[in-house]
Amino acid sequence: MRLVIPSDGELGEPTMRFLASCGVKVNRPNSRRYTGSIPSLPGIDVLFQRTADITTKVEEGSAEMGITGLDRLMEYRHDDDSVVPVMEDLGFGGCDYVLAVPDSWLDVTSIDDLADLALEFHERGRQLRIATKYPRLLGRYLFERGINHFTLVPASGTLEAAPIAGYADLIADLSATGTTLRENRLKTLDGGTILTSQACLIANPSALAGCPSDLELARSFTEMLEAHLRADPYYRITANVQGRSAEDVSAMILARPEIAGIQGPTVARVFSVEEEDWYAVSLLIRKNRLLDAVTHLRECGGVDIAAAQLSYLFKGESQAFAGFMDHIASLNGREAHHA
Amino acid sequence: MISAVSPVRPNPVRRLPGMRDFDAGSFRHKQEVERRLVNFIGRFGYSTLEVPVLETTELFLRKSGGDLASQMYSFVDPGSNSVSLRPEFTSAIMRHYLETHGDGEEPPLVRWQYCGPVFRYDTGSAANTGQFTQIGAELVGSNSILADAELLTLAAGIPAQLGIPDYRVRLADLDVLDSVLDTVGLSDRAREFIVANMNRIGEGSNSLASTLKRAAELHVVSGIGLPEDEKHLAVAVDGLPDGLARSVLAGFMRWNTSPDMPLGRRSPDEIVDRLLRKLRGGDASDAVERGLALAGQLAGIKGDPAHALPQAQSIVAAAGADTQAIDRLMDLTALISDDPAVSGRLEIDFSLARGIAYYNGIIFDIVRGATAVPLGGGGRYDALARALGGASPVPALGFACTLEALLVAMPSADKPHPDPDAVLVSPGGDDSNAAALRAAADIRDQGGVAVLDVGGNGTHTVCGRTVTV
Repeated sequence: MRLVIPSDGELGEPTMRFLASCGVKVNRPNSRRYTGSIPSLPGIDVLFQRTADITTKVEEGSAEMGITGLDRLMEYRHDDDSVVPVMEDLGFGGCDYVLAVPDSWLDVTSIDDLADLALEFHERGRQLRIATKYPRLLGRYLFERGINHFTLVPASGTLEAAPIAGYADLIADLSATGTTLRENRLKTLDGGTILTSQACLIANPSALAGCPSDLELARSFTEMLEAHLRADPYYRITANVQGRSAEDVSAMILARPEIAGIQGPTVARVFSVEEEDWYAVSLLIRKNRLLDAVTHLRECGGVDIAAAQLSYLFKGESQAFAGFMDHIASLNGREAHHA
Repeated sequence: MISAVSPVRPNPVRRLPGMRDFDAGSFRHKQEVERRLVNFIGRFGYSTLEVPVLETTELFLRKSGGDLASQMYSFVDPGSNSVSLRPEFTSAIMRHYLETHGDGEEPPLVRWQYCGPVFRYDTGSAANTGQFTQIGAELVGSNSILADAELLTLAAGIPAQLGIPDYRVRLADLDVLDSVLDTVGLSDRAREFIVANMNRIGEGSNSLASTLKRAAELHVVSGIGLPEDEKHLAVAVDGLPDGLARSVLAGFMRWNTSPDMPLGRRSPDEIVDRLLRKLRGGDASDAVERGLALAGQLAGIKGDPAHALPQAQSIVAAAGADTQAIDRLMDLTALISDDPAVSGRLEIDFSLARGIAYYNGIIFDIVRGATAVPLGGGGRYDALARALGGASPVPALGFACTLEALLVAMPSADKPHPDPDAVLVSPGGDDSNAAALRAAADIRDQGGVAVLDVGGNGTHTVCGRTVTV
């Protein structure tokens, strides 16, 4: 199976770090090589490409899976579902694709104002000019809101300068924090967020459907990513608690069910040299409840309280991949219907 | 070392979504129906006008008020022009009319018909995407009631000609709606908003409330829908004459911005003007509400003219509106009620009204079945000439039907069968190839159809008989 990931740019390094943290570290012999491997999942060939090309590579079948930005997927994919997102949010590479107008436009605060302004321009025989990197996403967004009179100025790079340079009236651009927009005296609009984007995992369903061994690798790979992301909000806490019996200890812990673990605590006898009534307690706790849980364990007489980062949390099956398999099934259904 | 990346087998090249191939049988059927309809429209005196498939995008944007923009196959041609595959014919026909009949001249009467491919891309619906065949007619240069009657009977005659059993013609009149709204005293903007939302208003009183809310969001209603800090500005300029209010706002703007701030391509004056319009603008809330309520009453009227039109008449009377438009509509329906294609199939439905500024007078669609599957539609559009840059309005009306929708609606069509007159000329052996070529040529010289048997599968199926040479 071939996996294509960003070679450089904003998603390049974060993707390598993310995959390493998921236990599927990519080996790239050197930075001039455009192929690599994943030692923990032999059978996956890794290709490095520009982020902008990744959707197309998966769509045309030069790779079966890929990691790219949701913004790029939505802009470049064809309408025919030859590439679909398997996991829409990998938890990094977040940014918003927003409309921004000059600060000096005191009369424009919302997308409705922009609709009105587009009409006013049109009535005067002019067209509102919008500079953007993603004309397709933006065009659809505006059409859906009844804004039909505008000219898109395709541009890449420093869009923020367009309203100053005067080659566009406003822009639609990616913004992670809004700082660059503010520094260029631009403001966002109410209802002007076109897409909330982040890194996502994509796949070519028909290419994978044709090869059971690739499909199995794709499942394993997806599952590693998903289990790692699922584990991220949790700590595993262990503590030693003194009590008369295992039931007694678990009853104390369960007095506060919201910090007693996902399913409840695991309690096991500690075979101590000196005293005989010690029990080891183990819990999964949401990270933001850590101190609550520690306090509660102390109140129950707990000592030696340890909290550890969880690497993976597996469920009965990979939910993301089950969704993807449903998609493959519907694809087959559609073909059968056509035949 | 990793294994070499395996070579990729190219994906098969596929048909684009919504594009259809017509094979010999379905093509012949389509062509035949086309010929019948062209002939039928021709009997009313309409001659064929052919216009280009590709036009400037602007032409269609002006016609549709932008509504079609999201559905057009638009691109930049090698000469940097923004162009589109035509999504409809009317605008190109009107462009041709304006090009051939100069300004100032009394608009001459023409009757034109057309038939050909149109292209639409609907991201939400595969069924409405792709290439379709439109057949239609335009009558330009007459505002007579007889012209309306002719066009309606012609349009209704299309499904009638093809034996489509369950079609209906749904009719509304924008002049009637206008006459009622005239009594309220609304701005053009508020009026356009109401007309654009007729199908929504027609759904009942809940939709009336939500439509009013939408009007506020779009600043059609004054004072409502402004963000908090703009309300303060509205108070600040309240009661001031426009000139003074502008000065106040210009001062406010200088205070809040610096000269090096980007403006896009707008001037500070433009920003101040629109800000003032936004603060002041919009119609009084009760006027918009009354306009919506009146429009809602009209939009609720649906049914055969004998019942529906008296209802409309009493709404017009109750509003104290001018009765000319409703009288004309009643005259028109009376005029065509005996036409065999119209009789028993005409329905009044005011929620059909469309919010395109230059439409006026009658507007109609042709649908079939309980779910109102669209077959075609049309109306009067006297102001389109102006929108396309003409010197003055030109009275005009027209209709178009989608041929593919008509073909589906036709009673089970004759299955395509082999051409009984075609002769399959088959060489008896390798040495009779030359003789077979000659024999086929002879048959064609005499006006017959000769198909040469060159091997392969299935050649004989298109021919009525076989000759072995």
